[in-house]
Amino acid sequence: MDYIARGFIDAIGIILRFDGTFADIVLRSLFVSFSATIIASMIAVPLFMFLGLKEFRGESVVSRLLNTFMSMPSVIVGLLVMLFLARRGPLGYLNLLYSVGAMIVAQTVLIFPLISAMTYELAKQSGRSVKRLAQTLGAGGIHTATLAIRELKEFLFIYVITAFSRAISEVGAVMMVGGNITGHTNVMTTTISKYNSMGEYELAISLGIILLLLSSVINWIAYSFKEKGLKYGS
Amino acid sequence: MKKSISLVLVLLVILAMPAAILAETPINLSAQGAAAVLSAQAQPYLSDQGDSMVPLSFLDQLGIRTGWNAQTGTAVLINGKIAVATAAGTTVDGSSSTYDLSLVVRGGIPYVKIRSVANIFGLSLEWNGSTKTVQVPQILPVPMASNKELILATTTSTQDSGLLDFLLPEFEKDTGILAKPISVGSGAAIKMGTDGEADVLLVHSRVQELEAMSAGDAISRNELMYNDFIIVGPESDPAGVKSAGNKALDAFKAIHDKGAVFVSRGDKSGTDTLEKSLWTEAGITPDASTYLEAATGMLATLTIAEQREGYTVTDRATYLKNLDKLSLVILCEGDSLLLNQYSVMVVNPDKNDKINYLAAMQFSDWMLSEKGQALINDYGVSEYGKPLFFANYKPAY
Repeated sequence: MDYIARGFIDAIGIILRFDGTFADIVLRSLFVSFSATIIASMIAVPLFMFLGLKEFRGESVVSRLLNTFMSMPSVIVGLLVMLFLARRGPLGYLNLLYSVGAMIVAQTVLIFPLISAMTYELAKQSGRSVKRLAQTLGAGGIHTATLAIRELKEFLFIYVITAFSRAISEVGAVMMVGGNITGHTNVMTTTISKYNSMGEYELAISLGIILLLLSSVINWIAYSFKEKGLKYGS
Repeated sequence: MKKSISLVLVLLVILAMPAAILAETPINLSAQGAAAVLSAQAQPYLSDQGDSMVPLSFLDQLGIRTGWNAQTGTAVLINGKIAVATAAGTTVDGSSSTYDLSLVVRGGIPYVKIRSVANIFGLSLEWNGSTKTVQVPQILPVPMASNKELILATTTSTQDSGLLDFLLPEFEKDTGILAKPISVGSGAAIKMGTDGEADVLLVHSRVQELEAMSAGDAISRNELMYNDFIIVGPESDPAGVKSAGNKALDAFKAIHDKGAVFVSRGDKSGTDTLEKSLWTEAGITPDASTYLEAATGMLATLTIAEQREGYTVTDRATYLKNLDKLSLVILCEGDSLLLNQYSVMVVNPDKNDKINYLAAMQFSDWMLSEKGQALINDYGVSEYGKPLFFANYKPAY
């Protein structure tokens, strides 16, 4: 039992010191997941807002497809990205496997369907009232989508944050495509996994604490935005 | 009488034949004015065809990087060009060459025709008739990797024992090459080599290694260090493994006969392969109800064994490193069947054009160098009072 207590005490020491190795891992995690979230959002939000505002046959097919992809386990995403980026894979010439770039690609692929699906549903439900208003003002398709994004930004922000927390907390995909190389591609989740298999629980616990803190901050932000959004909506 | 004389003559002729082969004229070698440093078994000679044949190790002293695959009898020579020689012929950069290296293997040692080597790589040769010496006045600069990133496929034990975290920064300091270790089981690591996804392998699974060599997946394989496996179990030792007198097979029989729980790695790692071969050798098919396959790393397997009050086979390094967290005790050790030999293998550059073979060869050379070997022996001494790995590289030629 005492090793758990010892682990926690040492963990707090590590967090307070915030030394090079530890800071490096935390910052890399943030960088990878932040980059992936930005890339996925920049594409998914405008695209699926635009599509969601359009009324066409097969809308439910799009929804179902997005939902399927959304529930894809991260190890499958990791496997697919790994196969594509491998030296003999179709994108092998990029020489990305086992690099931070590959991890960003994997997380982008992982959260893209999540942001897409949520944006698409939002566009269908709330966006169309914005659209009717915009059309009475004579706006075109792209203009309408821009307007809808602006009007619904609080909701979209919550989605983006949800996607970020999914990205930063996943371990399977980044482990497979990053290789968990010390000092280069190790992030919080993969390091926890590694130190667990090395039996060095102190660093694992301290990273776990940071991850928990981060996700509670994220949830807190998301929650306060939701409040604000609801107020705005009513 | 006549008959017996002729019999004696025939015998004499037969006895003299090997002597005739051995009597091929020995010669000497020098590089940049200094006599070549060669092992006693690897001595150059003048062949019956009048060619000066030199052991492959001499080429390293000329600035040519070499690899030797004993399984397929293939020598690879690299300096700007890649020359591949077998007994059947020579190719240079993939196309057949007019300069045949005339690869000969004698007593397990590969020899090549120095004249052809000189022609392929642009070295000049001089012959000193009075001292019978082939002189290479000017050697080539040793080729170094321009791509400073290397993918090292290795086993969980080298990572989990902390050895790589200790060695790789030293390697980077010496060579400027960043080795990126991907820690998987030996089976998966060798597969990465077969698939051309890794540049160099550090593994411990002899049978699988030799299979990969036979398939030509790597251009060299050198045994560089060992540690040993131990059979561990609960202190209460319900199967009485302790009384098996450090005989691994008897220990396995005791575990099986008493129906005790055995936790297997079950992940095709080197440890897993060894353990499975012990069951086979003991002639036992483990009982599915007490034989648990963890399909995970070594420490996790040990933890499961501890929790289930079972036995398992572990490498000593992982066990020693985690001694403070485990209540398992050593019940069988020191059997030669439990030796755990590690090898370093350079992946064949013909896999794809991204194989960083020069960096891989630098890594292999560094690990086999005096410094690399000394560092391996150093690791763990300050922390555990004894090394976790024992360097045992012996040049094959």
